[in-house]
Amino acid sequence: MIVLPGDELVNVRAPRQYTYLKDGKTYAAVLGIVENGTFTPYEFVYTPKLGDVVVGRVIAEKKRVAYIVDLGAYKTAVIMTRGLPVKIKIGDVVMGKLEQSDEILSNIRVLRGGALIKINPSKIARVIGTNGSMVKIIKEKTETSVYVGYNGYIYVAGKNVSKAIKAIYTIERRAHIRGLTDFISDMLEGEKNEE
Amino acid sequence: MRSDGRKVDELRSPLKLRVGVLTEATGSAYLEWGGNRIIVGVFGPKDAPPHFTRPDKATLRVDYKMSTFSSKEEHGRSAPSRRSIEISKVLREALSKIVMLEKYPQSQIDIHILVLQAEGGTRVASFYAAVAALIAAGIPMRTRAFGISAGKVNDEIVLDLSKEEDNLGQADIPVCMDMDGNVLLFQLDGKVKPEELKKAFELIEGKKEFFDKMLREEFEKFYSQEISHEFRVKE
Repeated sequence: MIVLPGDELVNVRAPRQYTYLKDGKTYAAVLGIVENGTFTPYEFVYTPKLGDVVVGRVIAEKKRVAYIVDLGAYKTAVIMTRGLPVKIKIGDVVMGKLEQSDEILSNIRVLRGGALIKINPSKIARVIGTNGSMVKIIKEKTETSVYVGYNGYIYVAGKNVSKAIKAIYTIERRAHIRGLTDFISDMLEGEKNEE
Repeated sequence: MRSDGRKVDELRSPLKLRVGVLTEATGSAYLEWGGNRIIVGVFGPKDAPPHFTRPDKATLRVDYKMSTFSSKEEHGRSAPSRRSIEISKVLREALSKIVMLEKYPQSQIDIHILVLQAEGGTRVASFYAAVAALIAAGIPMRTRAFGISAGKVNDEIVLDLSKEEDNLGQADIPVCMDMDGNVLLFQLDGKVKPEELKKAFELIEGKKEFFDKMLREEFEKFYSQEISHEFRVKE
């Protein structure tokens, strides 16, 4: 059942971020769907959260103290220059964890030799799959390394980059379909045979 | 009897809403309402310069623009006119009542409204399209809303004025209302009696269900379709 902002949610589990309370009742704040008693937002804007692993692009340097990283969210994150083990420059794609606060990136890893793509953060859970099953299939079948950020940015490097990107976009488009893992597996297998 | 043969509370046709029409915008909508053709794109919430933002909530920016070919009157200037600045302001104030701006502090949400063709009542039509675009963008909102204009023509209160009725009638009352019945925008151009105003609000509130249903139907369609992203792949 489709839910629009302002619809009351009765006996439905819903993430607090995308709902609001009024007079002791819960209402949806964004467009989503209710299935099996759970409210899933259709599309949302990423809000940085403590403990998230994210991928972003370095867009500026701030007075040699910090680098500013674009996460595709409503605010940017920073990398503190002090004690940084790797060298980074503007334009680099980095992967890190929001460990100390929702703005400071640590455990930095610079990603090179691939492509950065963006999908809606609401579909990231499907790209990763149960215990990373989906991302494992993509990695194995296309011989690539796939770095998934919770913010919706995905970095793909390796042999068949364009094939992996195609698979990821297919997941985003068909996120609501059951048996997606098998479908992607068949799709990548089929393309292999064609070659 | 009205000049185009409509009933008192009959809306102009066609009345068509489509969401997700722009691929680069966070959310978008296209509305056809009588002779009006309006396209809306929502961008953000995004990072904004500190002097521009507020520490407690997001800044909402609304940019209403009429295209140079939108009507018979001259809209040839590219700079904002007195009229478009006013409409941008009233729409911004109406929309900030229903958008949960406190969810995104120190950021900015841009709403760009372009009127491709105008035939009266563009500010309320723009409001309705902007609400649809905001929902499509996934920006948290308290409720849905709609806008419609009432007016007084030939000593009679009518709904959804066309351009003729707007220009030659006695009064024009654009109203935006949310689904709980709260008035978000109310302007009045002309003279009406208090009881006539009451009648106008009754007529407007009677159309609430209709606009809500249209929004829901369109989003059901939007949800079931696959999104196309092929153009995004850059190798």
